[in-house]
This record gives sequence, structure tokens and C-alpha cells, in this order.
Amino acid sequence: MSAASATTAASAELATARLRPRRARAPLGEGRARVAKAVWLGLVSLYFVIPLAATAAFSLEGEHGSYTISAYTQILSSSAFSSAFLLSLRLAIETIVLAVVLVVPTAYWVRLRLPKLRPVMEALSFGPFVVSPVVLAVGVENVFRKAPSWFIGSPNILVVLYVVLSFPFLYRALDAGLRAIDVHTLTEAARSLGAGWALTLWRVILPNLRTAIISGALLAFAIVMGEFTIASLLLFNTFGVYIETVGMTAATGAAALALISFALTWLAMGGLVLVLGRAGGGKGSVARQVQIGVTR
Amino acid sequence: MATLALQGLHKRFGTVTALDGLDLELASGELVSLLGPSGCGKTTALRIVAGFEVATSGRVQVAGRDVTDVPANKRDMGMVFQAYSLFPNLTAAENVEFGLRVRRQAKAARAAKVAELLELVGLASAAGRYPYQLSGGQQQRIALARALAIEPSVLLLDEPLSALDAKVRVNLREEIRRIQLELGITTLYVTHDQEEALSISDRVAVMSQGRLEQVGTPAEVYRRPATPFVAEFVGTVNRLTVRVVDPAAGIVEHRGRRLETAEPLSLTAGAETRLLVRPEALVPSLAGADGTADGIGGRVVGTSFLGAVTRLWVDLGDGAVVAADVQSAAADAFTPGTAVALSIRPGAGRVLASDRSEADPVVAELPA
Repeated sequence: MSAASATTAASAELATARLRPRRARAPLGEGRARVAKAVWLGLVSLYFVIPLAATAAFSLEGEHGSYTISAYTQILSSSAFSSAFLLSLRLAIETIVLAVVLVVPTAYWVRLRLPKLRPVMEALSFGPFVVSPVVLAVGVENVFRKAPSWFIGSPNILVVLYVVLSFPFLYRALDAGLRAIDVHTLTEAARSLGAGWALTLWRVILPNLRTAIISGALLAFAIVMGEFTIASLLLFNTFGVYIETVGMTAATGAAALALISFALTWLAMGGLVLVLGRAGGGKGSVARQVQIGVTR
Repeated sequence: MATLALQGLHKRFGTVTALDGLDLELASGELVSLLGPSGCGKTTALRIVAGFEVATSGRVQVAGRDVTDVPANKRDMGMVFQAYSLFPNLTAAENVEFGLRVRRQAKAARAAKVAELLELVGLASAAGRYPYQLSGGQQQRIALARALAIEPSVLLLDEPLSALDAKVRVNLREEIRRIQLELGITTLYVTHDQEEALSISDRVAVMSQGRLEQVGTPAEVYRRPATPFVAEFVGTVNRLTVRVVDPAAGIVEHRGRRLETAEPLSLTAGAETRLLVRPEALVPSLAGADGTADGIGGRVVGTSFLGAVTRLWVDLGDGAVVAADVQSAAADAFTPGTAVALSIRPGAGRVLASDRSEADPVVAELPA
């Protein structure tokens, strides 16, 4: 081999090495990282799965070490269960609708025109954490004592209270969503094109807050489905109250109910995501942009 | 197309005066740029015209109709914003269609208009793309199409190119001018970029501290700045301390050398003033071997390559440094340390009666 060709070969090797920088060790590193991720995810999953599995096993226990699904069949065939679940489901939906109608325009307007009120809104959003549900229930009952019976004497009053309980979650989710979009420019762009305030909110702002609304709505949903204190104090038999009652009377039934409520709540949340997701509009929302990692 | 008139606009934010009596008229189909540094009030003026700010006093008229108290969504003005403003949840076509839907136009008419405008801005193929799938330049084109779709009486552009890179900026500003001329739409364009303003405007209105300093064609503003601020803000200018010799003939004297100014002077003979000279009007030549020079003598202390021309920084000997441009092809002869003689192109120097600045004698900054 001539000196010239040796030089050429060495150059070619050097060039090839430059074309594949840092690839040699990469698979090993990537493999380790993948294993570490899987182990970590497995541990986290166990944290959630073990209690569920234990609850499931207990709920299936029958007499003398046998297994039975009688706890499930009894609950699912009970009219008390279905009425309590449907009541809480109805209250959850009404709470979400009322909270969205009240909080979305408020958060938007505070962001757009009243930024000095943001600290006030933040302080207000701590209210439900500071005031205990017991105090809230008693206070509301006193305030609405002279309200018409269709309101004070029906579970409708719970919606008002649940909106208050949901406010921090929905407001904070919306505030984060509003920060993710250029509210001022989008609003002015819509206005310059002839849109009024309502149309601007409906066609421009709301679709771009879809992710924030879904996040807040899911939290509100979970709160309402599991709420016990206020409903119990005001003597309404919601799903939370029903779970508590069953828990005090039938041990395996309570375990079965916990799993049923877990499954039903997740199913309902899935439905909520589907409904709100579709209502939210196109694929180009901010959420979608975040998903694909656009960092313009 | 409509005329636009801004009459005695004042705007105060607390104790800060953003606009201090702004008067400006745009003829039908004219493109006028509001040019000025940040905080001069140009965007405030545009936002008042758009209806997004309320003037403390003054009126805005479109085609003779007073729109001062008309809400923004009823003003019939198209606007392109500095920030990307396309609605993220809508495709490019849907964005363009937005204003037409608000106006409840028929579906077929909307579709035809959207297609026409996307074609106009050269993005017919991007109709189905969402904003996040478009580059910055493409987004601003779509924003322009969206603003034009409603066939506004006036088009407002608020620094629409400032977020774009240099090459896209140049292309798009030419595109904006082409479309504006094609449609003949009255346009108010806000920018702090003098090159942008000079290159696409019918007239340029230079603003400072809420007031108009000068309104004129780009050539007028550049060649005959009305105030020291305009002279300094638009382009680079050298200031030489001179003494008036013959006001009627426009002759001044600098270090014993007589110089001819652009026009007769309203100053008395013997008065000291400033002569403003653009770098391209200062012609450098190599000084003689003995160091003597036929012109204002100096020594090159630095050079800046600007492409076609190279800017020389010349020390006049007393610490004063001036800028002079030379063709880059001939710039090799002017290395730092070279003794040069500077002559002024006849009639290129300009004296401003109102020039009381103490800055002496150069405005241009010597690069580090």
C-alpha cells in the first residue's frame, strides 16, 4: 500500500468516524435508561395496584375461604346504589357546567382587563382549603334559609357548594391555560375582524383553553363524586354518603363498592374527556402544540 | 379606498404622555409609516386608530366619518400584529375565513375569498395547516390575508416583521408593498426599522416623544431632515462644528476650509452652528506623501465592512471621529493608521437652524 493510499484510507476512516459520533456507546446507555424507567414505572404502578388488588381480593371473599361475587351483584342490583350514583353524577355535571360558565369568563376578564385583581383571585381560590366543609355547609344553610324550597330543600343547593369547592382547581387550571396563550393579541385580532366579546370568548379563547377546562372539570368531577361531609350534613344521599353507609354495614360490600366507584368514576371521566375534547374544536389547539413539542 | 385622519391625538397613561397632539392624514391608497424609537408613541397611535386604546383627546376619522367612539369590532379595519396572532385552533384557511364568518357571508363566497387571498399571499398550498405547522413568515402572510379578507377601509400593520429573521423580513416587506399597491388599500404601518420604513412607504412620519418630528417622502426625510432628531434617527449622520460665512450662498467654514451647504442659511454671518453630513457624502482620499491633505485632514482609526461599502472611522485630530463610506472594492487602501483627506460632496451638507445639540462632532458611534 502506498503512502498516498494509506493516507486516503486513514482520512476515509476519520471521516466515517466523524459521521457517526457518540453512537458506539449510545445503545448501552439507552438500554440502561430504558430498564431504569421500566423499573421505576413498575414500582410506582405497584404502589397503586397493590391496594386495588388487595381490595379486589377482599371484596371477593366468601364464607370459609371461598370466593364469590355476591357483594358486587348485591350492590349493582341495589336501587339505593343507582340513585345515589346518578344523583352525584347529575350534581357533578351541573357543577362543571355552572363552574365553567362562571369561572371561565371571570378568569379571562381578569387576565385581559383586571390584572391587578389576580392576587385577589388567587387568595379567593384558597378559600375552600381554609374554610372547612362543615363550616361551609352550615354557613350556606344559614345564608339560604329564606331561599325557595326547590333550592334549599333539594340537592340543587349542593351544586352551589360544589362550585365553591371546585373553584380553586378550575381557576388555577384556567389561569395556567390563559398564561399559555397570548390572550391580548388573540382577543384584539378577533375584535379587529369584527367579533364581539361573546364570539371572541366562544370561538377563539374557549377552544384554546380546552385542556385547562378538561383538567379543571376532571378535578371538579372527582371532588363531587367523592364528597361526603357537606352532603351528609345537609342530609342528601349522594354517592359519597352511600359509600360511607355501606362501609359501616358490610365490609366486603364496601370493598366492592370502592372498586365499582373507582371504575365508574374513571369511565365517567373518560366520557367527560371525550365530550369536552370534541366540543373544544380543532387539532391546532395549544394543547396539541404542547403535545408535539412546538417551542416557537 | 378611504382616507384616514388623526386629529390632535393626545394620550396619557397616568403621568406619562404617550401622544402629545398627533396630527396626520393619509390619502386614499397611501402607505404611511410611523417611524420612531421604542416608546415614542407610534404603537399607541396605531392602537387608538384600531380602537384598542381610547385617546385622552383628539379624533380619528375614516373617509370623513368620525370613528373615535366606535368600538374596535365595528371600525372595519384590518390589522396585522407584531406577535403571531393566528388562532391556534383554526387552520390557515379557517383563520382567513374568520372575519367573513363573523359577517355571515355565504359559504361559497367565503370559500372563494379565502382561496383568492391565500393565492395573493402565495400560500394556497398551506390552507389546511395549523399555525404551529407554519413558519413565522408564513404565519404573518396568513395574518395579512386574514386582515385583508374583510376588505377593510384601512389596513393597520404593527411592526409585523419584527419577529422574523432578516432575509424573510426583506422578502415579506416587499410582498406587503406589492399587495398594498395591488389592492390600493390605505395603510398605516408602524415600525422602528428605518430601512423598512424608507423602502416601502409613500410617506414616512418620524415620531419622537409622542410628537411628529417630520412627515415626508422617504427621500425627503433622509436627504432633508427637518430636525436634529430625524437626522440622527434616520440613517447615520456626522456633525461638524462650522462658522457661517455667507448665509445667502449657504457657505460655511470648517477649520479654515470653505464648505458649500445644500441651501441658503437663515443664520447671520459669523454664527457657529452644526453641519450635518451623511457618511456617503464624505469622500475620503489618501493624503499626500508629506501628510498634507486637500480636504479635512484625519487618520483612519477603524473600519466596518457593510457589504457594498466599507465605513471608515476617521479621527479629525482633536478626538473628534467621523464616519465616511468608501466602496468596498477600494477600501483596502484605507487601513487603520492611514492619513486621509475628507471632502464633502457639493451641496450634501445641511445646517439645521434648530440644532442646539452639544454633541460634537459625530453622531455615529465608533464600533468597539
